[in-house]
Amino acid sequence: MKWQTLHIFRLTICLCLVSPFIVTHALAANGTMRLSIAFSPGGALDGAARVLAGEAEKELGVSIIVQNSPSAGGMTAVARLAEAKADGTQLAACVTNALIFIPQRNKAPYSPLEDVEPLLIFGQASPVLVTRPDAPWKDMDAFLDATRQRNGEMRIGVPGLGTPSHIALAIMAANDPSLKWRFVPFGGPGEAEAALLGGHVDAAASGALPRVKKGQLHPLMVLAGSGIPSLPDVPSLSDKGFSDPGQGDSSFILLAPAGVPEDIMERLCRAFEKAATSDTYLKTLENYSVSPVLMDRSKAKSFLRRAWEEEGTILKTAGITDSPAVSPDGEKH
Amino acid sequence: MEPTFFDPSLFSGVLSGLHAVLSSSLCLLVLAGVFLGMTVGVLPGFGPPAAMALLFPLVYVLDPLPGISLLAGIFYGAKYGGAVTSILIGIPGEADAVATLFEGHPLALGGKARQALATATLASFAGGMSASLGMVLLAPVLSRVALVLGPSGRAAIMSGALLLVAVTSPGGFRRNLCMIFLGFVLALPGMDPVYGSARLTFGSWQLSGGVELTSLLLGFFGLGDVLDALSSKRVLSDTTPAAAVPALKKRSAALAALRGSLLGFAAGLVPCGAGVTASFASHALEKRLSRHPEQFGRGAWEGLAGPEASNNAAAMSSFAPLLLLGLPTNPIMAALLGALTIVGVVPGPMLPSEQPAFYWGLIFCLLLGNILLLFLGLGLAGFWAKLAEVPFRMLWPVIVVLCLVGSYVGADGLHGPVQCVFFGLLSLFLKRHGCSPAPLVLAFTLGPRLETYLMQVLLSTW
Repeated sequence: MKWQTLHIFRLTICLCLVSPFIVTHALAANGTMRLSIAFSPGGALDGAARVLAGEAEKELGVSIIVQNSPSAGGMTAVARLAEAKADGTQLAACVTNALIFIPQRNKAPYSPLEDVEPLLIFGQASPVLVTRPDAPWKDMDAFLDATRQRNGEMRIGVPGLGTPSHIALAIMAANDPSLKWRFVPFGGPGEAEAALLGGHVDAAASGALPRVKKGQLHPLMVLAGSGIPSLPDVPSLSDKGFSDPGQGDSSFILLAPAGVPEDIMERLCRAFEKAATSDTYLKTLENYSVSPVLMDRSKAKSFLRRAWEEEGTILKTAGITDSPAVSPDGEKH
Repeated sequence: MEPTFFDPSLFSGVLSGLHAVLSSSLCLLVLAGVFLGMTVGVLPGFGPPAAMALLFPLVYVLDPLPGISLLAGIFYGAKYGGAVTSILIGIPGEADAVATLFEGHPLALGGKARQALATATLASFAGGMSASLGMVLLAPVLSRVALVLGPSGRAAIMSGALLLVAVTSPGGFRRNLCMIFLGFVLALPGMDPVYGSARLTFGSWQLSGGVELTSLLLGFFGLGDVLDALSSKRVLSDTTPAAAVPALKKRSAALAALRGSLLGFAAGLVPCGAGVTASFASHALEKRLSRHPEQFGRGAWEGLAGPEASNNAAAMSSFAPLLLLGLPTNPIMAALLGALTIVGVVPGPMLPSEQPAFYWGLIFCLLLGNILLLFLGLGLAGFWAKLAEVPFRMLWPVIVVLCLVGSYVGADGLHGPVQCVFFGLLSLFLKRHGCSPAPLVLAFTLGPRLETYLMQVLLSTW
């Protein structure tokens, strides 16, 4: 074969093989957005964010690909977002603990108030501590008694270390030295529930109510300052006299990378705000222990700033200043 | 375990999966995947892992279901491509096509190439179809079993799987253990999966996301293979025509394919080099059952149909541990596990109930891929035969370019190609010292998951 023919042949193969890359790239540039969720499927954040994305799709007229990037209590999703291109096509939905609690106590690879920009706060989680219906403890008091008796051998599945449920339980443990738990971190509430049903943990924190309503899981306590209307008989932290961890760490927040052009931000905010007030979205929230708190961009921003400043005092009054109660190994020393 | 998670409504997901497959351009994408996979798989010097690695970056620009379906199609096509090269030129793309080579190549030399290809295609089709039907029926049972396994069970199974891989992979136990260790080390940089702190990044932001999976795959299977092929002399297989080959008995070949399918389906569920074990076991079984064992190795049709059916069935059923446990059984499944993480789908026993459209959609795509494979394989047999004879010197520049472009796309920065070249050289070095890259890649993708499960076990018992 002459060298010209050889070169032409090489070029053709190269083009044929490279063309799918180009075509799909072009298609992707043609307006799809990606929303990564900080927990694995099966929990309140995942459920709420998926429906929110579905509604916002209709407003924006582009399709939104929803993906889950669990691990590290929600930090992975935020860290990836902080590195992403700031063109408005990459968003993340997480719980504010990944912006407030964890970065204040651990070294995070992002700056929570500068590298990411809040779009919207679309809910307030009140995780529920659940156990198996056949477990020997039927209410919180019995569970606490069992905790004291078993002297630190009770295992609680949480959707990651430093998540709202873990913070609430750790504050309880910090205030009462007789309470000791082993916190087992999972990628999300769904995984924690599965581990509970498989008998690998004794209790789990979850915000999804369908299994509670079907009687497959038994609720013990709402791990938030106030109870939730759909579970009127289940006590809250304040009902039992435990301190309220506050709302700064348990809000669902939608984030964009910092530096997205202002007009795009405006458009996204409008669409997602409209989605968060839609009937479909509000109806979905009834399946989860999430209150429909809605804050627009500026409110969310000031909420975050305030929460960042208050976090220290809340933890101090709760008795865990530099306390190891929620130290990385998730255990009281 | 009471049926709390799995009610009969599980199969209602089947409809949404079917809907997902039929309502989008998914069919075309699977077609493209199978075609691309066959093309790369048939080209000399490239097995299924290379095909997968070269086309892996596509997953970054697609939706979850289309992306994974495309990769699955590529995997399928490339496997078939491996069978074609085994039969026609006596070079298996991967270890599980070796049993095909035993019988298929003598048949091709004996002038029955066309019939041998057709038999292999039909046997693959039968294996793939029966295994995917088995997947549909067994899915609820399998995911129930997966649910009973807690963090400790999964950590144990993963460690066991890695040990099995160390025992069964070529290169020897000690070398493979070293490879697994190296894979774990490569998986360390980046974010800690439990605490989220950055580790071993040496202050560089390029490493904060960890080692790029795309660069690793392309380095080891794309660039590494090219370097290996360029720096060593190619061994040409025996081309003397065989004296006489037995005539095709359709019924016995069909029965062999059926036995192979069952064997392959079971082997695919066990995490140890699924396809290889299955195809060799099937070949041995057919030889044992045959009334003419002396024909084996000289072109026995049963010995061609059985292993082909079984390695395809194993390929299919190895999706079950991948999707329901997050446990890859070979390097290709490891790449798919990485792809699942990239597209943001969390494998686990809850997958069928949480994301029925994805789970069942993927299973239907696999079925579809099988059917397309049959048509493409039978219809374009002549084309594949021609393609298999393209000289290597024309291909390698293209492959190198594809590796560099692909790793750039995957990492979204120049550190991708840099890592790719590094891994290419590393792969060449390791191959020269008799190490196989499969355990390394498996350990690399399993590392973070194994670490998470291990931490969960430690935190719940300490």
